Amino acid sequence: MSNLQPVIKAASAILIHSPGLVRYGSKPSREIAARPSRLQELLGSLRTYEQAENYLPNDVFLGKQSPQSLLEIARPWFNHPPLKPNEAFPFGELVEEERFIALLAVADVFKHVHLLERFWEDAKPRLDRSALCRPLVRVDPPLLTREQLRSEIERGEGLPLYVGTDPEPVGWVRHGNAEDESLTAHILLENLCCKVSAALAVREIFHQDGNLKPQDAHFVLSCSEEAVGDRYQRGGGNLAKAIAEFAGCDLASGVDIKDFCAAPIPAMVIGAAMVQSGVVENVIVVGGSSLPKLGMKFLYHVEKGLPVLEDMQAAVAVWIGRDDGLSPIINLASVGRHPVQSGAGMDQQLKAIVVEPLERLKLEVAGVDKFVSELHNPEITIPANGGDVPERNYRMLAAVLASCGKIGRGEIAEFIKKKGVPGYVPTQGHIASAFAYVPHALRGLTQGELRRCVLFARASLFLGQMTQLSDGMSLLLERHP
Amino acid sequence: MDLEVQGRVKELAEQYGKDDLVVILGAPNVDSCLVQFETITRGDPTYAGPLAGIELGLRAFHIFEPEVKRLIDPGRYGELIETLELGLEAEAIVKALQEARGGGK
Amino acid sequence: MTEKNHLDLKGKGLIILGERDGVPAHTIEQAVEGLGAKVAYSSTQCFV
Repeated sequence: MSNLQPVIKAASAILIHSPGLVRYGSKPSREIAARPSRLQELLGSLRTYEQAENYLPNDVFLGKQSPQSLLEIARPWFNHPPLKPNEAFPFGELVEEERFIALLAVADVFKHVHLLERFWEDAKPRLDRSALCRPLVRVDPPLLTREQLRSEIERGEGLPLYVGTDPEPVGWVRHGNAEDESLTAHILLENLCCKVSAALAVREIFHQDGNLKPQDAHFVLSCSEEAVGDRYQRGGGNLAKAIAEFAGCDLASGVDIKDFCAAPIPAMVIGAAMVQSGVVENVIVVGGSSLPKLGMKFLYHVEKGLPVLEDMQAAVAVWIGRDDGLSPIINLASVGRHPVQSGAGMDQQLKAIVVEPLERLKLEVAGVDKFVSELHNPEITIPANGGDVPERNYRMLAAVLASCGKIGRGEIAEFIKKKGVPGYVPTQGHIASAFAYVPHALRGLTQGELRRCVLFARASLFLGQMTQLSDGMSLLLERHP
Repeated sequence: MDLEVQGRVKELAEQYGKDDLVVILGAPNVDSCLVQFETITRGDPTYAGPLAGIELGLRAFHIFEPEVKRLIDPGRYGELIETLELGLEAEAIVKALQEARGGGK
Repeated sequence: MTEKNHLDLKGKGLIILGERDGVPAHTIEQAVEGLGAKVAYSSTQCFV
């Protein structure tokens, strides 16, 4: 039934400048616990909002610059003068920490997050002035005086919240339950960061496109990295429903899709399949932010005199609906999978998830304009001996395509340049796994020159120590004929 | 190198003795390969982990290196490793390790 | 110990440090199977 063909109608991107939260990233929090002097080192290397706002990779993430600009402007980017400083971000917003922390408290329906009275007095009008944030503020959060906050800190049954490098805390997150490891303040904070950032990405879609309304969202699929649960059901989940509720999608239900970093791709496949099969008319696939990933490589950055570049939380939302005659098509016949028997090496993975669908669809490499995979910012990973991850992915894909005779060996360098997308995402994980590119793909496949792009992602399942296997999946997006 | 992994390597070095243990690396680039090699032979260069300041002097090779490659059936090597060699900076890795080893024990 | 002696894995303990984006541990294990070494430790790191 051609009118149930799934298409991407909208895509949004949100960045949250989070210097005060970097200390609660997994690596920073462990390092600071082992060596408290690390906190001062970290604080000495954090960026201001203006520096984050003018950072080229962040401009690319939010659509002010194209990914191509990363090839045209040489690194270092972190001290490059701002380009297009007064222009808005087409795909979304770069939210500052004050508004975000206030929203954490507003989003917390169990009232574990408390804000300093003075902080809320300052933050509330900022939220009211924001067309993006205002609809999220339906209740006032619990407030504390300075003395009350001090006594919470002395009792120590939670975590203080900070903004930037200011040593004075602005809020407090209490443990959810003293006897439940799944409801510690740290985990609640992680889950709330994901919930709020995801809801912002969802709201941004309504903000961008007046034709898409909250009541038209029927299903939300969260492909985020958190695990919501309690001591009896540690990964119980369905943060998607909490996101739908907070974002005002009252007619939506949802579920969480978990596949480590690759999750956005199966989430889009499942969302598109729900639309194509008629289960629902519209699905929002959303990836909320990952608090643990903040400051992951901060030691390397501090050591090399770089600012801490992993100071941004990132979220992306994609609206999948029925064929409207113009939006890019999600081609479900193209899905590439990674069965159990596929080999472990990257080459075997790519053969399974990229080459096999090309062969099945009888699609030549020349027929695909972009192969999009991991989009980690190389300015973050290279100082940490991690190399340029996107470039490595494309080099390996080119090698695989060459070994399968799809391109010549002499064409490897050209393939990387023409068909690859340079990295710009400020955080590792799901958002970087092609998902961040969807707003660019939407633009390219409608207003631009793109005909087809293959999105593919890989997941390191072995990190959970339940299997030595990896996983991966791919999906083809096509310009509407 | 991950601190957990450093701990395991140290334990195994004590258990087996350095002559009866060989480390095989699968790092994708020169930088991470050299850090691992350094950690296993001369000690953790970041001074962060259990191998900080500990010269284990273990023998360590990358799977791409001829010393290991020559032991493996060529058909099997071709099937499992050849495309990975093509996609990674194999020659640079082999050269870097040969130089690092040449300057050491 | 001299590196100039040919490497022989027979009877040796092996530590395999694979990487997701390089050569994973499982692939290395498959490559060295049958060479008489005992895999003492094998893990794949994921640095990205």
